[in-house]
Amino acid sequence: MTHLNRRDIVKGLLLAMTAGVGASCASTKGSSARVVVVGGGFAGMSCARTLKKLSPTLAVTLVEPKQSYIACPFSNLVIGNQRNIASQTFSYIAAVADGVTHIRRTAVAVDPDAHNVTLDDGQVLGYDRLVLAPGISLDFEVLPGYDEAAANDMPHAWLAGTQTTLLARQLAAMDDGGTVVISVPENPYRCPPGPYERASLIANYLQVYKPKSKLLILDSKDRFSKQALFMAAWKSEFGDLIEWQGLKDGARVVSVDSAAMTLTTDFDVIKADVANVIPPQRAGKIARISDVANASGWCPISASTFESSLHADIHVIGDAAIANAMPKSAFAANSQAKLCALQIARLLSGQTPVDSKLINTCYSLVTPDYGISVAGVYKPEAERWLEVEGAGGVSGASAPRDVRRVEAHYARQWYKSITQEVFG
Amino acid sequence: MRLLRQCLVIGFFASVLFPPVYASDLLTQASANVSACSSCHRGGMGSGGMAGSGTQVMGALNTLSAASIEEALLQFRSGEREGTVMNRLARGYSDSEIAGMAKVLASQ
Repeated sequence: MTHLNRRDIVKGLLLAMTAGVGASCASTKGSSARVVVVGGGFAGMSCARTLKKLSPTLAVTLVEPKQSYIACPFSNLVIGNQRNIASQTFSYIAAVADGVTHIRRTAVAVDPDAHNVTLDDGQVLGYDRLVLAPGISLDFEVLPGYDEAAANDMPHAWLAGTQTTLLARQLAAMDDGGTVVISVPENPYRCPPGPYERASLIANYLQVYKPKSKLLILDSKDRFSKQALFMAAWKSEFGDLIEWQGLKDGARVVSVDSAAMTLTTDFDVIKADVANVIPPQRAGKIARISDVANASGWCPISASTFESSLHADIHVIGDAAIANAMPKSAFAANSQAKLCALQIARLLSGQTPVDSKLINTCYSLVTPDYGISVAGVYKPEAERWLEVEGAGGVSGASAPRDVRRVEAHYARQWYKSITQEVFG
Repeated sequence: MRLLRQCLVIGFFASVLFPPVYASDLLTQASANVSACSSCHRGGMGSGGMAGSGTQVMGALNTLSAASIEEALLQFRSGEREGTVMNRLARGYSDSEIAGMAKVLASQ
């Protein structure tokens, strides 16, 4: 056994420190790299926190003007009088506790060449990698008659918050026997099964409190997510309360008049007592300002890393990204965020990206005790996220009542779990 | 011999003073593959019970062994074990992916 003397130990310590300094110089990008994440939803918040967990020495900045976040998943329960908006609200404290710097400002410009982001107070943040997670913006220019002012009379309630509670209040104030109309856009939009879950939970409310009322869905397409399951459930739970009309029925809404409370379709003019207009959507504003969105209004990416196809070192995750087969859901956004963080950690430490699959699960509630789900497994192939064939699919068409109850329970468990993971 | 001894000492101090910035086992393909699991299976969400017909809890998985997670995933995939979304999800993975993921899930 070799005997160590004090001189060896001191010398070793000094040499190790020198070597350490040398090593940290050589891997500057890895150890002190700066990552800026814009947007604090299920994608951005999750990405920022995962980056800090994977690599505590990274300087991670979250740019998000809001003090708290109001979650969209489960907000249909608020509209359906089953939940209050406070239980949808989450703070950013957990990210700060993890060592993420939260700057409560709005990003107004990105310079992809200079690698910096300008905020609305003039502050300029340099980055080695930028993650844009801006979610959606509502396309008020596309549907004639529907602008931000019209949304005060005909709420979209597609960004959770005051719009959600406005729609809930309108439903509560409506006379029994009234007509509720939901207008649904073409794909792609945030939360593909969302409009149909909303219709279900509104019907669940109307059936008890205003049973003479009707709910009409005016859809811009002929097929929708979990269609057979929803339609069977509507029949069994609500009889004829919900009527769905699709594109072939001439039900595409082409303009609205919020003063007259009418919606004009390809075929007809429909008067509503409560109108929920879900307008067409595109990537959040900063994605378009940054020139990472294409003509479709959404952001093309290299699948496995979520790096923009248009600008290097900028990653786009969540609803704003074109993830092909993956739906625009909170589940997908959160799983993309965790993978993106891992890929960025690898790239900043000089490793190549890994090839990884991703999953999505979307639960929908027809009633608080009746849940259905769709799940998918996805694999990256160059620029595309493709569905893994043979996997995924929806709940069984003839599943017994107790399975619907179990899935409703899982829906609540999922919400609790994902919000705890992202914000808790 | 002296050189070797010095190298060992340098190595020891270097590893203590400058631990690797990236924990490489967090950045593997298997870790990437399980990144979505925790959206439902969180620590503190239940006591290791998975979504079986009886338990109705989407629990933490790190209380289970890699072997039992692997077995459950294989059974979900074959349909031998009945679940809700887990049957549909497990069908998307190969034997080796499932084995790798089970190991990571048990260790998290």
